Amino acid sequence: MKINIQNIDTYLMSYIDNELSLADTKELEIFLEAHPAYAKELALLKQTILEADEVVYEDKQLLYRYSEMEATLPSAFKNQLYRQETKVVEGFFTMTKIISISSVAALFLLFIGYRFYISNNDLSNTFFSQLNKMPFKNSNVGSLANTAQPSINGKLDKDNGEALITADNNIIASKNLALEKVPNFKIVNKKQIVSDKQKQSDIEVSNLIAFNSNEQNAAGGSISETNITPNSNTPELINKTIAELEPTNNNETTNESSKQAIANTKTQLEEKENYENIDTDDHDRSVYIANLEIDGDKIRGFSRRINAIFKRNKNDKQK
Amino acid sequence: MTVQDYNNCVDQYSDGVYRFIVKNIGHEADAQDIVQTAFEKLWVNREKVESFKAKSYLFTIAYHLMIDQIRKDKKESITNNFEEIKGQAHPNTNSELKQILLRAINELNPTQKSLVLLKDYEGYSYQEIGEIMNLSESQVKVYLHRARQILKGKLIHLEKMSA
Repeated sequence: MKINIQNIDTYLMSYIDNELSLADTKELEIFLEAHPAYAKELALLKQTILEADEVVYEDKQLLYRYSEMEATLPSAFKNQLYRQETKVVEGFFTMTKIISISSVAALFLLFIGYRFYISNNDLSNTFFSQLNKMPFKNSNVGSLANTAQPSINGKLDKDNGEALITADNNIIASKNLALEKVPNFKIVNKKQIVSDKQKQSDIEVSNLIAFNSNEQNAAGGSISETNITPNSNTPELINKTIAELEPTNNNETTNESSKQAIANTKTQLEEKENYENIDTDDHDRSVYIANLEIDGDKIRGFSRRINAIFKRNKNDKQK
Repeated sequence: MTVQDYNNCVDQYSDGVYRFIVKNIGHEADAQDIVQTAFEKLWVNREKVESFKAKSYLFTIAYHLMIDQIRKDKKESITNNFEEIKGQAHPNTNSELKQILLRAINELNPTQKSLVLLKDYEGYSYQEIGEIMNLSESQVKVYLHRARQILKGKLIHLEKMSA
């Protein structure tokens, strides 16, 4: 027998809760017949069972549903009511970005312009310095020396017109440029690397010789009239040579002084700066910024593409 | 579940759900709100709930709504309200034993009270009560037996006092 005094309470509770099987119920009834005290306990437990009251929910009408409540709209009509959330895609070229890009581009252009300005100044400086240091051609050495020497020294004879080349090599004010009268005088606006210094020194020497001989023929009259203002290397060199030649104005000391002048000239020519060769060919549109080479055509193409993108974006917004 | 099935559920279970709730919280208006909410949820989920599970579904929803309501109105005294409801809802059940028993039930905790009400009023099995109240079958059995012992003790005590 499963039911005993230790577990009788559990059986009694399950009994009043209708949780006992038929077999257990019969066994419990047999047990209770044998133990009447537990029958009283069972009667007391039965009193704890609540009787089901008649409680009516009065608002049932509020809970009822009717078939017409199930009426649904046709899907085609629903589709007309649907609203899709449109995603606002912010374009790449917003106003702030356009302003920032424009400012960067303006700064870039200013920088390029500044670099151009600097390089042009360098070129003009180089030109004038080159002009002052320019060795003359051999074919008309004598006449070149005659015409160039006064121009270098700063003043010309009245026959050649008035010309002034400042010592700073920046300004030339001339009414009649003597240089134009020299057929073989070629203005070199490139910086040349004098690779063959010996050749140039020879040319210089020949110029000086011719100049010296011309001085001798002129008997020093023109030299005394010139106002020598040595500020650059070449005038200084010539001035120095002239100064050396001037006291020895006779024919006996000409050869010695010429040799000395040649020697001095050679030494000074060796100390001359090397000049870079700048190609100013119009077809070359390369821009040199620092060590970077930027192709002008490519920049133009790039700017054209940017303009096309701007226009396209503007058209899209207008649409 | 069709509309007809749903309306049948209203006819069959609305009174029982309302009784279960109003006996627990003792407040008619709140009980009505809970019943309405429970049936509203049944209507919304009628496609998912099968007809034979509708009663259990309704009691489960109502029980959880009631727990939320009890937590909301924790300070409210249930005992007084229960006595008021007793007079209104059961004007003809005024026996002395029943009054003693109702007073004893009001001293049970909400879980024990729900267990007793679900067992005695609705006749649910331990398993069904466990499903409604999220308890295991053995927990239901133990808690219910403990509630019965308390009620028995109260009855004995009150009978002695009245005697």
